[in-house]
Amino acid sequence: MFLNTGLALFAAFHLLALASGYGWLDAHPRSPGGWAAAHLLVLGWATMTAMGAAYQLLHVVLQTKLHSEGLAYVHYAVYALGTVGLVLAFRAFSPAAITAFGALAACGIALFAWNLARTLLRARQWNTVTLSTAGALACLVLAALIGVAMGASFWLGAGSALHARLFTAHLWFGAIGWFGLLITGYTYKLLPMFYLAHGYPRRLEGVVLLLWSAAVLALLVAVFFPQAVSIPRAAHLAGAAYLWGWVGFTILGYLSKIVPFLWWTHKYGPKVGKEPVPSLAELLNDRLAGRTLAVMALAFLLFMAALAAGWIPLAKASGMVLSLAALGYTILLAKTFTK
Amino acid sequence: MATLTKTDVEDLLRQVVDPELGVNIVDLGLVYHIEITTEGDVTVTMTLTTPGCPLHEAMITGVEESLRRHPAVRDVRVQLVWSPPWTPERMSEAAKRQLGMR
Repeated sequence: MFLNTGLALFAAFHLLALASGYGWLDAHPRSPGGWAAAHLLVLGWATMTAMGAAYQLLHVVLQTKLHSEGLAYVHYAVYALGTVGLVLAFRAFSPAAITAFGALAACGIALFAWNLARTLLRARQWNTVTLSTAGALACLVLAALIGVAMGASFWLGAGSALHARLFTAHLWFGAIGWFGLLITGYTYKLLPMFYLAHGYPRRLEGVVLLLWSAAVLALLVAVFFPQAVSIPRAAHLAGAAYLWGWVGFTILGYLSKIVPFLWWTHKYGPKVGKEPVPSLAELLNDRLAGRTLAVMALAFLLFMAALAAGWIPLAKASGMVLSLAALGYTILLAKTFTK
Repeated sequence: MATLTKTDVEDLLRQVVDPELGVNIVDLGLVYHIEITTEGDVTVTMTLTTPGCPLHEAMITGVEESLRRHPAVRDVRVQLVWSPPWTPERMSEAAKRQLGMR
């Protein structure tokens, strides 16, 4: 459910980008269209997908059941409604609706965090994977609460100085805290599992977790002393490279393993030993998936280079190639469900 | 009554294939011990490639189903253990070749 909705919203983002001819590149990123596009991708796709994967993987890591499966369905409904409403509210530029739907999405996030936190506390297995998950959850809740506060401050006409501080915190907790901690933590489990890596050195895992957590806390400097931090244009590009280049491509890569695996478990798991079942490789064309991702990566690099050089027409053209390849990749993943 | 040997059990278990790797669980080295009683009760002690492997239930069901088809089998019990942990060195030469590790 989470993965399918995430894929559908990923496709929606690219269809909208293609339909507008990447017109949002002409506008300032902090404009209603830019906010809508960013939240569609970050909340609708990346976070929706990460939530589905987190439910699945925490159960694997802890070898225990989720606190409440029923609550996960409620979370899905509340979060999906809040996210789609929030994107539409941004497009309509309605501060009241932005605050209301933002609060609904935040409620969905709170349900997710509660469900996972109860599971973690019951299992009491603390290692780099579970600690990273706990930290990521805390950051996600903070990013959501700050996001709602931003909507309310905008709606109620609070000062721009407060808004700027909230914006920095919202971005940092969401991008560095939530995605950063979750991806680094889960990678410690996923990569060895997918590639049968055993006996590798693990002593740096804790160091990475500490450094990453310190980076999240360093945010306090920017929030309380905003004059001490200046954000040059290069930092905006680095931010895009981080979110698309690392977060986005990591999720896309993992999906090529996770989607066939979940479908196989659902459809063929009960048939093992009774009749011949296909292998995972037969459910998804791995070579084609790799080539499509390579096209996306090249288009993305060109997109970033063009943005850095200020060549907007080239950025638009490479963005469109990126979107077409992304749609192709989505279809490739979706075809798994027909096998 | 049909008889049952360890080789029979291993042959049946070769029909249970890890869907990720495309290699059967015997050649992967996942089967640690096989015990057969004269009454036809079979106990398979096995592991998985990684603790908490999400294929847990499918693999156990696969082992049970494949063995129960043999007329000499009365009951099947699967014991999943994590010690000693599985490593790629436990794979047969054929499996290593199949996965391009040789």
